[in-house]
Amino acid sequence: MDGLDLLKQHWNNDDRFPKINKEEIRHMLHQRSSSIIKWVFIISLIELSVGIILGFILPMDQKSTSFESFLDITFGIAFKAVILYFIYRFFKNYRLIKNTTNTKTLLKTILKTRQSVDNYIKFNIYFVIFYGALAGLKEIVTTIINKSVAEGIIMTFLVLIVFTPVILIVTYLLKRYYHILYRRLINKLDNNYEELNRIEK
Amino acid sequence: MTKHLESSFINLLEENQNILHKICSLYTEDNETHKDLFQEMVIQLWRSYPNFKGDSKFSTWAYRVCLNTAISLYRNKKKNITTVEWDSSFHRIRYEEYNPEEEEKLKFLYTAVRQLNDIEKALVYLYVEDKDYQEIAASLGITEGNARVKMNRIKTKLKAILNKKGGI
Repeated sequence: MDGLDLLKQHWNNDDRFPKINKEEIRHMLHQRSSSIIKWVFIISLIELSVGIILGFILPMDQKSTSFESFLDITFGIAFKAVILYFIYRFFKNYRLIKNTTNTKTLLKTILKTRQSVDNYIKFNIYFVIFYGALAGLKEIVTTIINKSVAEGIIMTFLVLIVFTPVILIVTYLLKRYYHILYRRLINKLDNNYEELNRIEK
Repeated sequence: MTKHLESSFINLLEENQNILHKICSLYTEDNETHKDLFQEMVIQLWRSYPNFKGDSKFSTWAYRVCLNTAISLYRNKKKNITTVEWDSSFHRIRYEEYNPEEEEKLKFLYTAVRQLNDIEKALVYLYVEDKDYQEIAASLGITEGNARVKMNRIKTKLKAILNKKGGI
């Protein structure tokens, strides 16, 4: 007999499981869920808030020219618009998660929801790097104009010496953080989604 | 209204609880995790119950939510599981009506199935539940042809595991 046919034969043997009574079921209904979705949602909300807080605490220089003020306002508006777009994408995808859809769609929607937060984090990192690079460049140009080219070159080295390790450390820490987070939370979803895709190849 | 909804849900779930137990028996290896997954399935079913239209059978609707819970939503936290206690001692399989040889085979078979990945277990579940390939495909979101091919591969894989163990 084929292995699965033997299993099939005994599969509907009803008395092999304990019977859960109505009171026990009622009690379970009011227990807290510990699903992956719940954790994805909580972690995502924390990450989204960190980005928003970061947006508020970024150092704002006193602008010496109206052109600089104009640039700053434009940056500010663009940054907030992109942040709002990411938050909109996150909630839009989150609302699409339904445990009654087929397994592949469910996995895809959860991973897509998570992806919108990942993209948001990446955007924040790139923005901070860009903002930092711009501030560094401004220091260099100001030094060249106000002092001398030689001092400008020294300033360039100083900016690079300070800036490069900071970027490397932040990138390393974020990579570690995501490695741990993914291994614990998303890995199972990734593997199962990959398996379904492999079946379709 | 909520009370009425709750009691109709509890009645249906009590009647159909073996769907949950069967899926748990494939996805978990010990009683504590079985209970924990069972509880998460109940919570997930209850959450979706207001949207259950009744145009499909409760059992069909329930197995889909339960499989999704096992494959996509359940996080095995093992160390700090807090579940509602239930009275009965937990016997996964009662063998008394089988001959010893068959008991042994069945035990091997369960061990082998638990070595499969989450998607393969879902296919095994749907297969032993006698679902046709159209339904298997619709439930997992793959094509019927691919579901058939995968099922054959799973049978071969199981055979290989069992042969290695000197089982069936």
